[in-house]
Amino acid sequence: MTLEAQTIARACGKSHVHNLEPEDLVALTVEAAAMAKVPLAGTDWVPGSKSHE
Amino acid sequence: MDATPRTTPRKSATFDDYSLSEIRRAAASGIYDIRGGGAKRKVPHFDDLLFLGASMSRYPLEGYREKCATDVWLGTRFAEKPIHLKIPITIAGMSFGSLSAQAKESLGRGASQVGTSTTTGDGGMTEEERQNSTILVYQLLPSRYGMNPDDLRRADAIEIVIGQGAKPGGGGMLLGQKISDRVAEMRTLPKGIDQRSACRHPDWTGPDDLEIKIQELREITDWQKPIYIKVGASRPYYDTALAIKSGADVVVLDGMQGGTAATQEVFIEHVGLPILGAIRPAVQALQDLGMHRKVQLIVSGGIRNGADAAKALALGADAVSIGTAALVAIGDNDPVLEEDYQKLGTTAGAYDDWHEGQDPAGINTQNPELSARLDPLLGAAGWPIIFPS
Repeated sequence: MTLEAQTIARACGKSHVHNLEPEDLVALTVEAAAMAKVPLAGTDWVPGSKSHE
Repeated sequence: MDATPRTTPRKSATFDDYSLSEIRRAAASGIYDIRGGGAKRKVPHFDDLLFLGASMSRYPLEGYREKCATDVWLGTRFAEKPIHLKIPITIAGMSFGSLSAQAKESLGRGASQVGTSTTTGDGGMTEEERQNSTILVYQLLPSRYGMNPDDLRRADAIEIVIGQGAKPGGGGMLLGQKISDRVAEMRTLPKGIDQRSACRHPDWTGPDDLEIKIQELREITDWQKPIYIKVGASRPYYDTALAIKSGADVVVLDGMQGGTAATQEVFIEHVGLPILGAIRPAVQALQDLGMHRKVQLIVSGGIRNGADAAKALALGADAVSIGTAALVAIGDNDPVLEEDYQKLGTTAGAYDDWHEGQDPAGINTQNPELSARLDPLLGAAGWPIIFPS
């Protein structure tokens, strides 16, 4: 598990797993985008975010 | 000849096979269904997120050469001896009573091998787990089973359990089948009688009282041990804020996919939030109070692999906890036991009647014959356990 998390962190350019951040993520569904407050994949839309109102 | 075309037989999406079988079961027994485990229904989860790997706009690190650290400090806010884990994955609290002593030993050994902590549960601290766990977190639960100041001092950290993801707002019940002599003695209650675990703690009613309780715990342990507060995910923003206010060093947040030893099916499936929807509000509370990374956040409930862990960390958690995944690693629901599961009327991967104490894997049982099947070094399936390193 840790090796997997490390693999992902390195691919995102992080030298510590704690440097992963929401900006490294996108969501596949509108529901997940809203819950995790990350953009829907391929868009800059975060459902519920005030910047788009 | 009747040639009138007929539609194909159609089952209801609402009254599906499971719902129908549950209605029949309830009608015949007159009582709700009790089971172990966490929510089985599909809820939004980490699989619904993807990472954006580096390319032109970001610079990746080389897999086999460049360092990517994984360690985590827990309890840096007040504890004189904060915990330093090599990996950001801990073993969640699971009780001796629900689990066999062999299972507790196995989890302790596995956690110690990879430099992480394991956690006691509703039933006190066993010698097996204390001796085999380098870092042991001691749970203080509403039931106070097995609770005593000596074990508080023998622990490396203390986790005050307010609730758990499978049943925020609920207590528990350990059926008499699992109350052996030893379990009964540790809980100072009679053998073979169902034991209730309370849904709320008798020593406090809210965060103001809890603050006093935490001070007591700090005095008993000479301000050395980190104090965690564990909550089931329901109102994570306010619960996290109040945990910080009460003086917690660490907040543990457990989503509805997190397992339990035994609870009503209706509770497991219909109360609480999926962990995906709980992390950001908790992190927001930490940030609003200027406590993000100062009070650490551990999240749990459905963590299965490194991708889940990495996503939880990216959303702002400091570490994750695994319970179900750890049990599976030591042999729970393993297909090699299929014949035994069939005898219990179930199948490998679906067995969840842990409260009945007949677990063929020897994990969720107090039956000495069954628990003897579990070699703490090998696991129920019989191969050496290499913990999720």
